[in-house]
Amino acid sequence: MFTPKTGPELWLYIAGALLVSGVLVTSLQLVPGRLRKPLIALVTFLAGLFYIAEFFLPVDPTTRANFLTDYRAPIAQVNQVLLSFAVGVGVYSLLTLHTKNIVRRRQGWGFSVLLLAAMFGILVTGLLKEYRPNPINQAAFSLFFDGGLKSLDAAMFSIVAFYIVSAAYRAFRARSVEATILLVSASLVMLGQVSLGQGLTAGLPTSGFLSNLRVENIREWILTRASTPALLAVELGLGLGALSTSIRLWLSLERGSYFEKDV
Amino acid sequence: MDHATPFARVFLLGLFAVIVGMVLWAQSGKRFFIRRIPGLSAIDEAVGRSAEMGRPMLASFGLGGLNAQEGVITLQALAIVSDVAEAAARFGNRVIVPVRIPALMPVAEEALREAYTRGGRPEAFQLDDLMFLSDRQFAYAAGVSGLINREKVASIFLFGTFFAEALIIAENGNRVGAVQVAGTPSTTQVPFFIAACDYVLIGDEFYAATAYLTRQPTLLGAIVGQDIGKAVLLFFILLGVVLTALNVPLVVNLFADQAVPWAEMLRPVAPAAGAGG
Amino acid sequence: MGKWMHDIDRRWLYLLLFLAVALPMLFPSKGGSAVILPETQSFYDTVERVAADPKRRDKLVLLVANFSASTATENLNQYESAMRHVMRHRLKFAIVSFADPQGRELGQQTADKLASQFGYQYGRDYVNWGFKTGDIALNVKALARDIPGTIGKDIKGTPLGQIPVMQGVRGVDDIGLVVETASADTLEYWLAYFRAAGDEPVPLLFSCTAVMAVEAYPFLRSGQIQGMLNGLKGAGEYETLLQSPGFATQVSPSLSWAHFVILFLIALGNLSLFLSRRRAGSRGGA
Repeated sequence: MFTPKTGPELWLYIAGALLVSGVLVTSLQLVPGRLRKPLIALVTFLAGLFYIAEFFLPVDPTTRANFLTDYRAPIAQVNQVLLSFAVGVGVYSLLTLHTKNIVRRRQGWGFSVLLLAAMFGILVTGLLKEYRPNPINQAAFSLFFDGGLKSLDAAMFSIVAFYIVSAAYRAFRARSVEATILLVSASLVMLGQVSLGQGLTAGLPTSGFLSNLRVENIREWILTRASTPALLAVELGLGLGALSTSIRLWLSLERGSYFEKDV
Repeated sequence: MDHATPFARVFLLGLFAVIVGMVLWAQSGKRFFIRRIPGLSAIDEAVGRSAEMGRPMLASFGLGGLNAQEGVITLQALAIVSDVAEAAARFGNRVIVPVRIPALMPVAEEALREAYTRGGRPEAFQLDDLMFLSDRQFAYAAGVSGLINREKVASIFLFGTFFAEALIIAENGNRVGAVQVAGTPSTTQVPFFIAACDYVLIGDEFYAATAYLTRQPTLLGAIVGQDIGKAVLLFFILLGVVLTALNVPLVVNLFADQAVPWAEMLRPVAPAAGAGG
Repeated sequence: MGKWMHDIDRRWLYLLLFLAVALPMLFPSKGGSAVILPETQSFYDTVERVAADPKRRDKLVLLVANFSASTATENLNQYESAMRHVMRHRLKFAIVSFADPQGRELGQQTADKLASQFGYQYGRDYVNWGFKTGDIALNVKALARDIPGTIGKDIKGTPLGQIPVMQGVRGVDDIGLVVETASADTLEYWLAYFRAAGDEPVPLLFSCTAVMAVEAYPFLRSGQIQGMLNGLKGAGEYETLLQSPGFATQVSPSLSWAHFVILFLIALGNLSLFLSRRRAGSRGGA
């Protein structure tokens, strides 16, 4: 519904947005302390009201839309822009903490040097790759992104497999009847999951009563008939919990939990 | 469901009214009971242990951001973490809070300052202990694991949204012998926490945590409201089971994604496109 | 014996797992014939059905790459097979990522790898919408009504309206199939805000890491998703169905042995518990 602007019109819009933002930020700074909380509560209420009204208001059967529906995409974009600004807060926190580590020669300060070097390295090469694309800049970015970040990400995820082994060795013990049931069902699911395990009962028929004893069918039964209903029950409670917490937040009934003691 | 069907409108607004009604009733003086939750009772024990050992604590409010689905979880987790920080301030403990989402830094800072003030030690709050690590999932996990091992933390509190890094963090905590309390609505990560932590909050216990810890009427009222909602949903589930067994698809049509006209509520349910076989 | 097993240095356990994974890769053998699980079969059948459906086959297929390099072993193999399947039937498709910027690159790398084999051309047969930052729920909800407005430009900076394959694609009713490959719980956004937002529910397929699969089974049972690939195992089964064995098939023996090592260690842990209880019992009786 909003068309992209180009040329002088674009610059006019940018200048206008900067002016409005400046006025808004200054006005917010001038708001007296006692009015800040009601103001936050009002903004929270209005922001939530958009999505609630858009969801609940009746729609035109042909367009399946109400008068708010077309604003969904622009509001999603506003949200993206707002969140992007928060990146600066993170960068500021990293810079202050690690610069202090280096200046005060705290234990492990060398790691802080490495962190800042990697952060600026990927930032600069990323910008160069985007705005001055040439093979050298692309290779430099690839060194950080493919050689560093992607490989380290994959290595960290693979560590989960090792931790599963030590956690399973320690935790899966038949200490009680419930723990034994859990142990047996987990073992059957694992066997039914892989081809070597499936091979153990491959001799049983694929149909008829005996097929129920094939390990992959036992796995299927445990997952879909035992685990799924339990999971759904937990999810139902979680959904209602989320709804109740959302209502408290939306109506600012939540404030007692943090920021101040009394509601 | 893109827009509310007529039934969803009635049903959800009904739930909304029940929850708000219970909150208002609680605020007007009605006292509600909440059962004992062992994982939350363990918080004071873990904080006390940390004080005895003279080692810091680590508290994370998860990897979730402020988006539609995770925002509520993250803010609830932050509320629990600030209650933990309040207990820590009372015992004179240091709490390290690593953050993944930069947008949460100012919110977390204010919440923790307030928590230390509530705990009677506002001067004990150290801004350096609230740190942004990385918004990359595994870089965050590596950072937290490093902190756990370097600082030899005595107790760890993990609340909020967690993904595959849950076990990495919890196993490192287990390795240094820390008392660990975790609570997450991420159901796939609960088994990992159970394997590696001492106490785990399961399901909606996570949302009951702040009510349990603070006993504030508003929060207790909301818990009662959501329990009434649970009973209503249970009724519809049982009704649905019975009616579907009798080949009457009323409940299935009532809860369908797209509106079914009231006059056609008993018509058979159409299969999903692409389904079959 | 019991005490030794109880106090075992966990690095021995890690070494055992490493060997169980590495040795079958170094010395490949023919793995046991895999049973195709029903969710994988229905995943395959759904793509076949969409390709054979005159109402759907000319619509755009969404190949959502909500994963990063960390889970590429599972997700990238699933994603590649799904793209191969779509290309075999000459369906038009769009690559998009909402969860991680790496998804955009990994999706494009997969398309670059397969495009020449199937004669696919960028812009004419497929498009890469890139990575859309921000709140996934809001983006998916907005996408259902207004694809060009939500996405804006493709990865090359071309407005979607100027790309041939995007002609006539406005919203959910112009999408024939959604295949989401994910490492996190993003499926519910598609279920809540996209699948049923149009005239008819859009078929939805989910391929995920093995740890996420448990959470998706309820939606499979309820018919809200039409099929699922469960981790690397699902990817291997899908390769078998496509008769195009790749990495997932090749590492199937490693996966099997890793599971067996875990089962062996669980048995060992229980033996240690049994022995320590017996020792405690005999001390108590003395």
